Amino acid sequence: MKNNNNKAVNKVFFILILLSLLLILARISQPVTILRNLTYHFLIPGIHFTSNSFSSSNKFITNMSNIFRVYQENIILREQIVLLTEQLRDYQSVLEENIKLKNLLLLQPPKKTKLLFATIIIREPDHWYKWLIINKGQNCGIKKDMPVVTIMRDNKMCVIGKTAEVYDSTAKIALITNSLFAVPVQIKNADIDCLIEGTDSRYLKLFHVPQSSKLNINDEIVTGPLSSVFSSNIPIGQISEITKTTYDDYAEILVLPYVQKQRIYEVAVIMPAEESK
Amino acid sequence: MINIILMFLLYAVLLIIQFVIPKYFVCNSIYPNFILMYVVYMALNRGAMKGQLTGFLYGLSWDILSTDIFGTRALSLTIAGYIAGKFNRNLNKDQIATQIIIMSVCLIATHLLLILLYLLIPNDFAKKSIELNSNFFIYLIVNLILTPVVFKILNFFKKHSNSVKFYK
Repeated sequence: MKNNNNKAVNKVFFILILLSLLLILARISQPVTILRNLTYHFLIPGIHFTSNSFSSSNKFITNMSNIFRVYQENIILREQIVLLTEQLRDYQSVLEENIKLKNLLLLQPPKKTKLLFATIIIREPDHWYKWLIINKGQNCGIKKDMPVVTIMRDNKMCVIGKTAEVYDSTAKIALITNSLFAVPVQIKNADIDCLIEGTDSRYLKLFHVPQSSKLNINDEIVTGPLSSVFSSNIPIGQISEITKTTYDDYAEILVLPYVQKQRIYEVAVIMPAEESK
Repeated sequence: MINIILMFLLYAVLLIIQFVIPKYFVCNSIYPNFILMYVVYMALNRGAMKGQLTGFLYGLSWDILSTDIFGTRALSLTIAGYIAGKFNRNLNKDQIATQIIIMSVCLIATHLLLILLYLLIPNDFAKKSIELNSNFFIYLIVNLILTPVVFKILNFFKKHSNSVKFYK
């Protein structure tokens, strides 16, 4: 029985082998193509279904890995958000501070000014370094505490003083050399703020100069931003003498105003453009 | 009638698995040969006759669906079914070692047969043959690792499908 079974197996095996070899040798490409198309026609729904299932699984796995990745990314981004929020808060405070400082600087917006030229009509020898009187007054729009300048030979302005008393057609100018006169100044190119005062002589005295600052003869002095009368950077004069103490501190700094370097016959009152008549 | 339908379903599912799954897992032309595993499983459990017939049927189907020389798969799988069927009563087919040894014998036999066929019948297809271009050693290891798993699954279906006489 077993032998018969084995023989049958062997017979079928040889038949199948022969059949296979015949198929190989026959090279039946055309009928196979038709058969292939037919088989695909039946298998296509299943193939599609399986393919879609695997695609979905792959998408699911990809999504899961993406979720994990996004979770990790989220943690990192949250940390960054906290960091950036802190930075933003700092930025906001800096911005507010900046706005405040800008507002502070803009408390005195630059005014439109014009020059009103006037002729010196009186300059008393006894008060040569104190006062002078010009031929323009209230009628021309001059008011008290208006800056008065003169034009130098090189067509630059220099401070001469300010209006102290104003009359209808005249005005009294307090000269910069007047001992009652003081104006906040800067030493040009050094960014040092200090105060200059008249001495009733041809020189001015510089006060409140920081001991650490290095001053030189001929350093130019200009009006500073702290002045309520003068706008910044109007030339005043040059340092002419520096006296130091035994401890190397500044004892006395004398400034020769530009106004003393030339004869003055005319001055110009700086006045707001809208206030002129 | 139910058995025929189930057989046809199994046949379709196996073909689909063989031709769809490798699309997602093939790496360097190394793919799991599920059909060969099924043929070997059938031969071990049902004998050489069923094994070689299953091999021939699935081989022919593979030939129809593939672009290789027509008949090569039918020949190789028939031989694989026959060889595996010869161990039907001589070895303990439930042991993993047995399954791996028989599977490796069948894999090597089909591979050598394919090489021989492509040498005897020079064809452009020979250059495209997956087996000849792939790293056979890795291909062998992958399939041997998968063999016990596939056998376990098939055993599971066999035990839990009492109505399917095909397995009994």
